[in-house]
Amino acid sequence: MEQTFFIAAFTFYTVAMSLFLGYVITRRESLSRVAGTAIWAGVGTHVASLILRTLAAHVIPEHRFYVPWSNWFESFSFFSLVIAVTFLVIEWRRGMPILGAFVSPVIFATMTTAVYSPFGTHIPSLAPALQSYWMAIHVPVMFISYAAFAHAFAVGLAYLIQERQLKSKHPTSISFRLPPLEDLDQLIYRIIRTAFPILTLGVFLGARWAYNAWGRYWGWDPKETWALITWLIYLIYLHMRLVVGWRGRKTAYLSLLGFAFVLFTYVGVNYLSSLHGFLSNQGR
Amino acid sequence: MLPDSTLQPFRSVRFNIWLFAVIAAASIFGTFFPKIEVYHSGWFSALLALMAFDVVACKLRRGPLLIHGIPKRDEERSVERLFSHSRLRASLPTRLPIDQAGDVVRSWLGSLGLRFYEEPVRAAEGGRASAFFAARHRVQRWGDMVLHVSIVAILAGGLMGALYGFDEILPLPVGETMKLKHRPLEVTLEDFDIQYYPSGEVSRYASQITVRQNGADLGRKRIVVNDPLDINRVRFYQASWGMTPSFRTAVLRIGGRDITVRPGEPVALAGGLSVRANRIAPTFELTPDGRMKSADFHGHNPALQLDFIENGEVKAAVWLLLNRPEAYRIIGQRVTPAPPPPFLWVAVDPILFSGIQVGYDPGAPLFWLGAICLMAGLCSHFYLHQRRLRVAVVNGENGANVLIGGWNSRTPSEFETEFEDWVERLRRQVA
Repeated sequence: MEQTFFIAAFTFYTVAMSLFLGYVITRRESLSRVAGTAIWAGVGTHVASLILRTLAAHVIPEHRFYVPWSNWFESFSFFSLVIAVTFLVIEWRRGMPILGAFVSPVIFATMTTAVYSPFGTHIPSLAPALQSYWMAIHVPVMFISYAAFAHAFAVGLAYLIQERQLKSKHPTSISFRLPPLEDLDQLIYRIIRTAFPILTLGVFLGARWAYNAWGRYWGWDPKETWALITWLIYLIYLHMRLVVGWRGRKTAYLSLLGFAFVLFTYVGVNYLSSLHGFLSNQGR
Repeated sequence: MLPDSTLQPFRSVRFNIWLFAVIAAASIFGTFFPKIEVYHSGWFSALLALMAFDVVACKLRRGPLLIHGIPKRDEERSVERLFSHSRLRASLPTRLPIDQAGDVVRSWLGSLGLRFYEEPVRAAEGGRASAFFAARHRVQRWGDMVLHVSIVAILAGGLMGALYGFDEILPLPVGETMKLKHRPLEVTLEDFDIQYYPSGEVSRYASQITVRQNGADLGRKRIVVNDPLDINRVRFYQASWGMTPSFRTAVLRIGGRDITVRPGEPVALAGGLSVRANRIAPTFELTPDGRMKSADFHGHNPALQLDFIENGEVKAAVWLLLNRPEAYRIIGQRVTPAPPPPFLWVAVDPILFSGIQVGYDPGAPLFWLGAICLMAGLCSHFYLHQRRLRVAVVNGENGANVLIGGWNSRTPSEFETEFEDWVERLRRQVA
């Protein structure tokens, strides 16, 4: 049943992606509304799938603290959900359905990465270090910030496309869908200024967990170090924008660069160290 | 105190941004080349210290501004100066007398939920006027200072921990006691248990430990990963576990019969030969130069070291793998594949050790305080939207004139609509 809900969620996200792309091409408003509904449906079925998975996992006594983001499959699946929910929040606050055309492919990509997990999709055996309530706090907070940065990346991409379109003599249909450059620039900044404290909180919550589990709050393990590097990149973005006064293309490029660092912190670092990772299918 | 000219380069934003970039680049380098000690090197520590110094240098200048930025009530200002920093402005001519207009403004500011105070100001023509200073989320102004100062606290906490803290690992077999190097404390491992999932992976391990000082019990607890024992800020963590080379018993399957052997006790085989089990290697591995090493202590590939004895003399020494007919003959320091003996090693009761990590970090409280303050500063700086109104009621042509200036902590466009809405509400009230 849990897998059925997961497949339904994947299908809804895929349908949403197709509709958003159709919306860009055809300029039919109704497509974006249906696509938004499909994202809602995807989120609903996805949440149902995670609840059922959690209930199934809690049968095992050692899984008292189990949460459905403990291995490769679960991590990417949950990340997809957080991106989708973040999209709905931003769409509700800002009313920018075109953003769906940029974000839904990211959701599709993370869901596909989950499905093609090299370790299968089964419920993992939790390593002793992961048997903690911190798992339910630290990871979602980090994912909320990552999902927000994914949106800053998407809007940054939209900015660069729109800028190119406006300079072009023959703008395509997407140019009419995208908001003015200033609005996109503002949105990137608003997302990053909201996500930055969340990233900081996530890092501190991780430090608190490490203090209990490993005896130190900071040990310069690759995951911690890359979280700090990502933090520094967005710190540079904020200083550049707020103090130096950077706007427009330069900050859009920084939002793209920032998300590249987020991705490396999330996935790439696992190839540098098994500590803190999920490539072994049993994070430590 | 350093002169201002000396501090000036460190106050440059571009210098600081380059510093962040260099710290990020050094950190990246450290993750790709873990054998090169980056994070505990002198130059990396100097970069972090420079960051702390820069924060102090930058914010020393801002501190007085924060204080002096608060309008003083005993200082009479001119109307023109009142609006010098206002990004948004509006002017409402009314037919009301100046006192009545003042009442309307008071009621309007109250209805907006703004905290405000009044003070007289000098009007353009030299007369007196009433000014109102109102704000929402005024506390936001402190966010920037708090978050920067807390970064210094976090770095100072880290430095204290590095200078005055300690960290040691005690590999303790059950029943044994070890002394700490850095404190006159003794730790005894009373009991250790380990549980497995059906798949064979470790699900949980726990140590019952007692900590004593001069024979007196200071504390005892069954510690597991994520739940340490804390005695006067010295913390005892369940860090690891492993097999010692020792074992209680091993079981050899000889001719279809299971025979239990103890370390060092020979067991007779056929033909006047006997075998003696000595020790185990928890995770047997061959190095490229033909030596045996145990890759870890977790028993992923256990091997039993056996001596074959004839007439009281050791004829051969081998490593035999658990449950596999695979053996390696020991010749000096090296091992070579050898024909397996006519029996299997099928079970072992190993003596385990518990890795108890003991840590003391006097900088931790400062670090956590810094972390809490940094979060408070960040939330205040980025999540609160400070909006300030300055309102002056001055004499106009047909009645009082209400001048309004607005300032906000974010981009003016984020306040424009709200400012216009507020002005519109006042316009309706004075009409």
